[in-house]
Amino acid sequence: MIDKISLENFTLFHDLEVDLCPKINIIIGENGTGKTQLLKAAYGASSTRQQIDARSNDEGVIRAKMTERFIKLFLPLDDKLGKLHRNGAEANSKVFLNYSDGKSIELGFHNNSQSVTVKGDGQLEEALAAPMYMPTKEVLSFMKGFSGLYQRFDLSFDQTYQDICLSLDLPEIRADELQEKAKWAIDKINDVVGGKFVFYGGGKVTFKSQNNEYSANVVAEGFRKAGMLGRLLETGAIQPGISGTLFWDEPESNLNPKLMEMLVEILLELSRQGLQIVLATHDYVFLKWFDLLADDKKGDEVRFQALYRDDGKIKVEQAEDYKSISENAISDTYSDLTKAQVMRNMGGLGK
Amino acid sequence: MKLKERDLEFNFSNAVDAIVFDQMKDKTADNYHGVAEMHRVDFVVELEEDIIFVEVKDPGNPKARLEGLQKFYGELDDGSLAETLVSKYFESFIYRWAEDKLEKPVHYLSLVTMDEELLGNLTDGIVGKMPPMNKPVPRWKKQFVNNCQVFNIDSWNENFPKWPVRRV
Repeated sequence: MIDKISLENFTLFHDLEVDLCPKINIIIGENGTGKTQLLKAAYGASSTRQQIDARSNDEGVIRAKMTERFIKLFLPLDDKLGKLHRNGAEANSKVFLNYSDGKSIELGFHNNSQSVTVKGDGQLEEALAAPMYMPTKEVLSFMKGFSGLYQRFDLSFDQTYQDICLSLDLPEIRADELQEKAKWAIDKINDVVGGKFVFYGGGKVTFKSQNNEYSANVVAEGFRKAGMLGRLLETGAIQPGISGTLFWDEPESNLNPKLMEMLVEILLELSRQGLQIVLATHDYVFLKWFDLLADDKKGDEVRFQALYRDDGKIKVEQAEDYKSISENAISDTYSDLTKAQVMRNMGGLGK
Repeated sequence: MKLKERDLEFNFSNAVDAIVFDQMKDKTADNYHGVAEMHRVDFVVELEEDIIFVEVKDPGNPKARLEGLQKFYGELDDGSLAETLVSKYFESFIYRWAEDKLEKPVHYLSLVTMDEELLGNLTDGIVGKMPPMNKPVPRWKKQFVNNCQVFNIDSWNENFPKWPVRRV
């Protein structure tokens, strides 16, 4: 479990510390406040040695592979690590993660560095504790051949897309190893989407309903997104209590609001089983479902982190309760709508 | 001019006149309504050039009882709350017309003490049932309702600083 993410002079961040809870963490904030960057930085730094493709734990190898990892995750201009150093900063960039078991990892570099320095092991040697990153777009519609193309050509997809395609294409774990609640979640997803996605390997995916088999492309995008979560549970890429943190960037995109309730129910249940989840979202409906479905008696814990700009710096406000966040871009939008209607229909009345 | 609906006190500081519209008890009062069969809004406020009808619902009252809350959210959920709020406006409008007190444009403002994010949906539910049902009507010379909108305490105070509301 990640306890703390600390970013210094990294991309747009001056100095940011985020304390995570072991269950559900929800990052909100306007566009341009670095939600995705925060998620990717934590994802990258919590990678296992297998995920960064480092065959040995030799310091030079780890440094080179971790550097490559960050370049592929962030796609900086000209593939230069130094471009991830905050513009104008004098001190080093640092990405630091602290874990609840006392482990930590710190990556550091400057604007002319060729590679990152690495202090601490973090999760590097914890092969089973690999984190998972769900990007904004679903991938089932284009994963056939994607991994091969990604390796051969310079595609403008960051590495989270390759990672997820590889995880989706893994074989299913043995039925007796599938956790009861994971099976429950898979069944629930299949029930709602009215069928099951079938993975043939090599990225070939179809959708099977009771009587027919279709191309995954004809299925609604929101269903494909839910199908990804189901598959990651089937392959054991997500195993509550065993696998690492699940990062999910805008789970709500392309999702029919009605699917959100199911998704939130599933995420809460997975967090109860020991999965740490970090989400970035813009969507009020999604947040409200967490508010309504989280149950103290079941030990649910939902922590909100609102990123905002103050005096040119990105800051974070932490709250256990959505309503108590003062820097709340989502809520401000509703307030702006209210004001705009009053102004249009009533002008200055009452002012 | 201060008006109270249970725990919520409004001060319409720049009103020409402001009355509790649903006065049903005191038969000697000027504002005695007297037609129990008609739905009625809580207040009618007359400004220099406008009239506002105000309806108050207080599910956010810390003293609210469970049965009351269940009823409120049930009605919010099945759309009957929006229907009732429309009827209140309609029948208050007719009543004021019969009193010959409807020469100015009328706005319908409701104060419902719940999350601001849920208010827009209720506003849409009410507006959708109000004539002319979101359609342009070329023959109409007047608007039946001008601004029709739902607020909570915070958004009310933010938008109408001259008519502050507070819990007393």
